Amino acid sequence: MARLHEYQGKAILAANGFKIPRGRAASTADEAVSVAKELLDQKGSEVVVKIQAWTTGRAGIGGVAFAKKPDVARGHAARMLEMKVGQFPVEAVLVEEKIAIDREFFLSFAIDDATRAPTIIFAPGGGTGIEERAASTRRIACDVIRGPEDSIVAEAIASCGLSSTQATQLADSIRKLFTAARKVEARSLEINPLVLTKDGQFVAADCRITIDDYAVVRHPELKIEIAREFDHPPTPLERVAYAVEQNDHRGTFYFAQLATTAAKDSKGLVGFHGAGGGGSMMSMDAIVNAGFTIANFTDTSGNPSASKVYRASRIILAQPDLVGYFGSGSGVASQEQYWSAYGLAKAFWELDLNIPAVIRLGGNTEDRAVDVLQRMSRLLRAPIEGYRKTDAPAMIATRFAELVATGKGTKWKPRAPRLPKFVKDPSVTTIPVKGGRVRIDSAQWSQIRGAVETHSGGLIVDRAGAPVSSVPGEEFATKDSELLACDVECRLAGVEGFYLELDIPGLDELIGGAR
Amino acid sequence: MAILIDETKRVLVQGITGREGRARTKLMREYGTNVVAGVTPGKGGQTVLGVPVFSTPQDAVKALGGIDISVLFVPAAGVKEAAISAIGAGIKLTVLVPDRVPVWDAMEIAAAAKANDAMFLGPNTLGVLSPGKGVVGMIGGRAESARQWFKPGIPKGVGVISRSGGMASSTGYYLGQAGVRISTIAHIGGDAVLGIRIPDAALMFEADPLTEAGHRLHRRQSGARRHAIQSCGSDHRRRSRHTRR
Repeated sequence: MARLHEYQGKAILAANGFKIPRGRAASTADEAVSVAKELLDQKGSEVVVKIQAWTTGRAGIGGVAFAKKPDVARGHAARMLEMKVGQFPVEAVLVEEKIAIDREFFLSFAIDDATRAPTIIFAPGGGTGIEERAASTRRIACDVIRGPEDSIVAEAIASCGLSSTQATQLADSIRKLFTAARKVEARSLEINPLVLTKDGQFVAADCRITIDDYAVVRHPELKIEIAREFDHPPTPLERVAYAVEQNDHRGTFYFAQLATTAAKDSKGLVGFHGAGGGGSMMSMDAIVNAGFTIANFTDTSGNPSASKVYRASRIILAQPDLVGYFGSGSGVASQEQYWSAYGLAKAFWELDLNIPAVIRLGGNTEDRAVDVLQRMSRLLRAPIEGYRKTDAPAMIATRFAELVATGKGTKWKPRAPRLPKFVKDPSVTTIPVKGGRVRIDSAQWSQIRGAVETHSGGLIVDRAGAPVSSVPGEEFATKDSELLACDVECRLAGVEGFYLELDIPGLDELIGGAR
Repeated sequence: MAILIDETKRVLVQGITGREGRARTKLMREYGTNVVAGVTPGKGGQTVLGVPVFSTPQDAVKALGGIDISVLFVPAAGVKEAAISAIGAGIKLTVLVPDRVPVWDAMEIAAAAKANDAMFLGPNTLGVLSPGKGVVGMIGGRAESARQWFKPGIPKGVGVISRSGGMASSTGYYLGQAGVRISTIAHIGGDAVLGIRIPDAALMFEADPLTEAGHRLHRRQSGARRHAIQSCGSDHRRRSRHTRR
């Protein structure tokens, strides 16, 4: 779930009619001072400086501090901006006026999987013990479109002992919470505390909000760069991978980096390529039990295009120091596994793979998938072995360990893909596909024509001695998987002169950095 | 009998003219599913693999009479509208295959289903398959694979429920290898808000005379799972073998 910081959440609340403390986020100590100066405008006023970080208990780790003078605020901000919470450096602090608290309330929006509907959880503060709070907690069921019913809200807050004006304000806050959550498609939205100030105002003193990952695309205004909850700031490679997923919705591609160095006593870092959540977990357990450290988690499933699997593989192999490539996921997949095999085979050939790869592609068309990998293995320096649904993850993990052990400690160095020479020739024939282009060596066409027509399934044919697509350009552009298979089959048949070039924006620059 | 899908159910495919819809229609029919119609907005009057295409579920129901199940192969952004139109046309089970359906859309679908006394499976489900009877969604892939992997529940079989699609298929396969017959495999989907949850599916199996035991593969203890155990676990143990891996 995509998380927002407190100051971003408060901006959403303010836009939906909540009162929030005066203040702003600052990313430098100087900025924090200038905000503090604006706020410390009256005698006796005070500001609070808070780290903007995804953690609970900020006060306990020194992430909340008060200041009556701008210079004190500077000290707090300077110290906090050096902090790290988990793997996230603190990049901003929120500087706000300190508010005079009369009472506190807990107000939270959540999605209830049992009723399949939004729900609001409300608890009056003042209770000292957790049991006391639990006893007074109210769950307010909401209609997904209309929100909570007035009568239920009124009932929930009736026992709080508020004046009728305050009760009206509180009821209004509860409705506004729903409106705000609905507007940004929140998964959760917590205001803890909602403060009743000494001058009788309800103010949102804190805010924690997560947005539905699947809805982020509908909310460009939230400026969420990567709609995923990592335990670290997204790495450059994760950004590249995320863009691939956004550009191709055929199947699912997930990539997260887990380690850049092997653990002590480990047999080495492994590039992991799974398919399907459950099967991938079993396979990751198997490879960890075999003594390896997993560099990354990757999942390509849900009937992905061959190009997506190719790109996933290229991204996995942009990580240095791998001792091998382990592919294993759902063993009885519904998807046609040979597409995945073609994607892998193309990536392995282009990168001239010199570390062992063990790939289990069980399920539909597994025989064809294994055959593609075995044939490609003959063209490579390192062994590639293909396995089926009857081969258990633990068994192939053991086999993987054997292959790595015979590899004499070879570690992977990320490299640019090898391109056939003719691609740079001005006379090359180019036909665009989604995210790339087919390149055909015009000088060789008469010799390779038969092979290309066959392996492309007739997508490319001869017209007046030159290669052309046999279907309209728009349709041809979506045949990248078929053309990828043609690329690999031509390679396996020793036919030079056909190449499918698939773009992965940003990847070359990263590999350049790694070399 | 099995649950949710069998050879008597009349099935509609929404998104039938798309890449996935067309391919899956072919596979579902090859396995024996009675696909009676397809829907793609604006493409009413066409046919796909001999199946008549309508512009709305309402049109399909009007022309062909009652439809039991609609299965969706449409982009995630179009799922809400498509599902609600199927529910509005009186179709009592909607199978939401697409991944990445926004959770607020899923909640709106749930509200529409509740108001119309209908059910939905998913989102993000591979679907449901009753061996030898029919499949809606993607479980099993090719018909010949599905026939080879999953043994029909004759006279009775085990019901499989999973939140993981791959594990649903794998479990069905391993049970078959062990000589265990299956009444139905139900992949309920991996999302936060689901139509048919583990307890709902468990209760359906419980009520099904052809299901003799339940197999539920899970990764973590959730409220739903505890509920399922409470609602039917004890009765299963009394009545039959309880299969577990």
